[in-house]
Amino acid sequence: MAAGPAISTIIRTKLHRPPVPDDHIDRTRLLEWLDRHRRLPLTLVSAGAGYGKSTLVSSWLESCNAPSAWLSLDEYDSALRPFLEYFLAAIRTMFPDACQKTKALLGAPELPPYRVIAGQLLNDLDEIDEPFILALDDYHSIHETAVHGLVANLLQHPPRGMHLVLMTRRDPPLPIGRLRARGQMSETRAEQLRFTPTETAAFLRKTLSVPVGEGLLTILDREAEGWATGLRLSSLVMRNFADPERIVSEMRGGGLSWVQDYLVTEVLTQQSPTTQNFLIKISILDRFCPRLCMAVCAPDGEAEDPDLTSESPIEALEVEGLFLISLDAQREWYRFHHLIQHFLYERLKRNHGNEEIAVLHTRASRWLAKEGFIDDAIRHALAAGDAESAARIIESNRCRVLNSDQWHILDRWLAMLPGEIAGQRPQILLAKAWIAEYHFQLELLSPLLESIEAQIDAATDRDLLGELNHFRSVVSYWQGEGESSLKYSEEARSQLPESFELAIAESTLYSGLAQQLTGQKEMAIRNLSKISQSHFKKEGIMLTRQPSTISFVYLLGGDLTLSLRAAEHLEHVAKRNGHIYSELWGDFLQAVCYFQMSRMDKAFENFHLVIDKPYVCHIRIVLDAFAGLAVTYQTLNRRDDAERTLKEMYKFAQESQDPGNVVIAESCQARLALLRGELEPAVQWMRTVEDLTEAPLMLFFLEIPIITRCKVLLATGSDASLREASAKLEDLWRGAKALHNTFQMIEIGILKSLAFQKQGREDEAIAVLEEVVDLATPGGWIRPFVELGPPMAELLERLIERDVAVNHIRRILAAFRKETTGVVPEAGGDFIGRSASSIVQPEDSDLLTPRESEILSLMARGLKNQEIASKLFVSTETVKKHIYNTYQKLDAKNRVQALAKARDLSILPRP
Amino acid sequence: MDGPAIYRIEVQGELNPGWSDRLGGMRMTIRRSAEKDRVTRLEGLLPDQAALAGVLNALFDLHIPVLAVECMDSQKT
Repeated sequence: MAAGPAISTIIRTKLHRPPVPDDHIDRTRLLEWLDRHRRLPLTLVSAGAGYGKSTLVSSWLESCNAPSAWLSLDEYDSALRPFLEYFLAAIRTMFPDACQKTKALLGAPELPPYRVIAGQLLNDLDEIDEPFILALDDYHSIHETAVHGLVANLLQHPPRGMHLVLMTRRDPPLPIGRLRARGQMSETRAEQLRFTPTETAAFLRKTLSVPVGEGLLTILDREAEGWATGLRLSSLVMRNFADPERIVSEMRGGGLSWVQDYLVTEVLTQQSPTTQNFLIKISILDRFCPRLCMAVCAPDGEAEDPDLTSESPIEALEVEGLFLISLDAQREWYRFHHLIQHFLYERLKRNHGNEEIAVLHTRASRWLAKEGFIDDAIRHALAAGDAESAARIIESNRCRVLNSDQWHILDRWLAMLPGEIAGQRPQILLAKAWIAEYHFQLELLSPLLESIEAQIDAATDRDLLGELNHFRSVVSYWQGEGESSLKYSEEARSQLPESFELAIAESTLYSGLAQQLTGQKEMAIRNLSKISQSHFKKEGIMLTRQPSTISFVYLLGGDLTLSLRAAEHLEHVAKRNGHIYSELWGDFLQAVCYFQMSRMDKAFENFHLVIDKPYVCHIRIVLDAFAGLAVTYQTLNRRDDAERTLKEMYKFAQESQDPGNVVIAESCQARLALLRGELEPAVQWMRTVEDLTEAPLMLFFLEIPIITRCKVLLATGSDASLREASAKLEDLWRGAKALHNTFQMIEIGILKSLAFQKQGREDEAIAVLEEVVDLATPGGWIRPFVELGPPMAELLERLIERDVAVNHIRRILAAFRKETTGVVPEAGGDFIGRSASSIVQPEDSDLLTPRESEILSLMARGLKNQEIASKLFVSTETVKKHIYNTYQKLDAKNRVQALAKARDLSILPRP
Repeated sequence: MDGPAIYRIEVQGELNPGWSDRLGGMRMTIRRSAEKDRVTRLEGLLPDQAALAGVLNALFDLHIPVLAVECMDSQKT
């Protein structure tokens, strides 16, 4: 990887509380007022520029004994993601471990809606035990509705310890009226911030060596209206004048803006021409350090003004108190007071032509780019009217940010570029393609590739050709074209530069997947493992990409045990490196393996991990985790929990605003109905959905509407529906087989066999099942067989008779027996989290006999006596006798009481 | 100049009354002018010009065209 300065997401100076200036006077009345209200959720400090808002709050925080943090906002952080990043960074300067879950949301490819973020942030902030103060300066720079929404949400349900101070030049669009009415906020405005005559006198005494007369004070108070900046300017001007009265008389009756202009002009003319010129030029900079100033005013050490020595005049200016605000503890970075910057910039525009100003921006841009301040560098290049340079800056930094997984930074840079330049530069188009791949917006890839192809010169742009070939391999893979995907990915890796680690990693991932797709699973694993050894010592991207690909490949090949092992490794590596996104992928892959092995306790645990952070992983994965969990609950006869999970899944799907996701949630609902033996709702669903098309790749998805549809067709059992199911399953089977997707071949093959059986085609049913069992045995597959209930059990018994995979089939049949009695399949598995105490273990209950427990749990599922009897192959009388005994033991008079008491005694799970 | 005052702001179109809380709590009335364009009138006491600027800025961010701003009664103490 090319050496270069690190690109930091967070500019630390924005988190630095501005120091209180030396000539500051204590404004006791305001400090006490702030102190009195610090238990309220909000203090609003709203007044125009120059009223001393920041100085007041900064000096208050300095004297406060509570932990506090500062965040200076600017218009560049106005969007939700950067705002949130800075907000969390500020909180974490006080409490380094706080807000982990909200931080995890930022690791996601897409941010969830701000309401969801607000909910998470509220919970996180509420966990902080002690009172703390968070000061947001220049809140008026925020224009993004989502940010206001987030802050409004925080204030509506304020976290216990938080006191928010908003400093702003105008009132923010927050529900201030409501907060005022509820007494949840205090505010200080221009009226309070104004210097009183006494404070004015105290201030002038402190800053001026000359005594100030009463008359002068009165005029000053009237003209400056207690305006802090006016006073400071006045004192600066008066310091160098023998006759302060003259200044005051000049100011008389001019109004604030005139007074300000007059005073700043006076202050400026007191400086040497060299310094004046210097100040005017650096007014293009929002933040500056001495080296940046010199880069702008004296490029290559050649000052345009011979009096400007290599030592920039900043140090001297600071001593003079010329409205420089120090931005860090090392006193390296500064900014002007906003009013002064504005004034100086107006001067710059008046004295220098646009071309001269553009030159200054260009110099700033060059220095900033060299030092790694890329955002600022891009902005100055654009301000210079040089979009090409801006594009070049992005081009030379894009690999670096991608290598360090900072996709959203690249996304932000690209958004700054004007559209017309982006379309003409292959590297910018490639950067867009990476973003599209990251967001999984595959539909954007093909048009981008066409534009790139038209612009790349194959002879000279070898590196770029490598990237292009990678994207071609991605597109081919998702079209199910393994051979061409493989070919492109091999070309890509022979062309990509070694320093572009991310591209090599992604391309390797796809070559592994493509090899699997073409039936070269062993080769894929061998190649992937080889890479791991050469990259293992680096703390790079390969660390998580490699085990995840291996886990994918094994899982698609149906090898649950080895996939599980790779997924565990993935989770471990991701955790160690703080890659929350990859960690959840690891959890999800484990959950799928456990689920298919019918180890429901572990599946349950891992599905939950994914769902607990639903906005980090890809939506499809989270939907599958919901589906897996709902089915798991249903398997454990926890109907209410299954329903609740389904509701959450449905809500999540709707939130995504993609109708395809809602179809998946509804399909899962139909599947649960089938599991409960309720055919009607499942058939209803099947009638309402039309046109279920499946993606070319079904990967290892658990809930696939087209497959669920086939299950419903099989359950209805009419000749027509069986024929339809058979035909569809045959298609799906061939598709999965062509792509060597053993995972889905097992799922589909079982159904195919059942379809044959229901059509009375026994021999074909057995033949297919034998093939499927062959695929399922090495991987230890159990779950899909069990889901199909007794008819599948019967078929499997037939295979035992024929001496096929006897041991594994016995294991499957054992799982059948356990599931149909509603018992956790794996003994000794511990459920985690809130449900830990409510798992049924009827056999372990001393109070009831196993039979009584069994009947009780069937009663809890709402079965009538007769239904219980037929399910257990006993007479209704016997069931009644057991129920009578159960009532006696539980001291219950009826069904409702018995069930309630059983729940109290933890014999049954709580609803 | 910068004291509490009653302001009247007229904007083009019909504003959702739910926004009142975020617009300095100003009272909203919607009236139809002779032409078919609807106009929303916001009226209320604002503490100072920072509050007025806040309301105008919020309207701007909502892409709502402002037609008129009037200071009705300055109550400077």
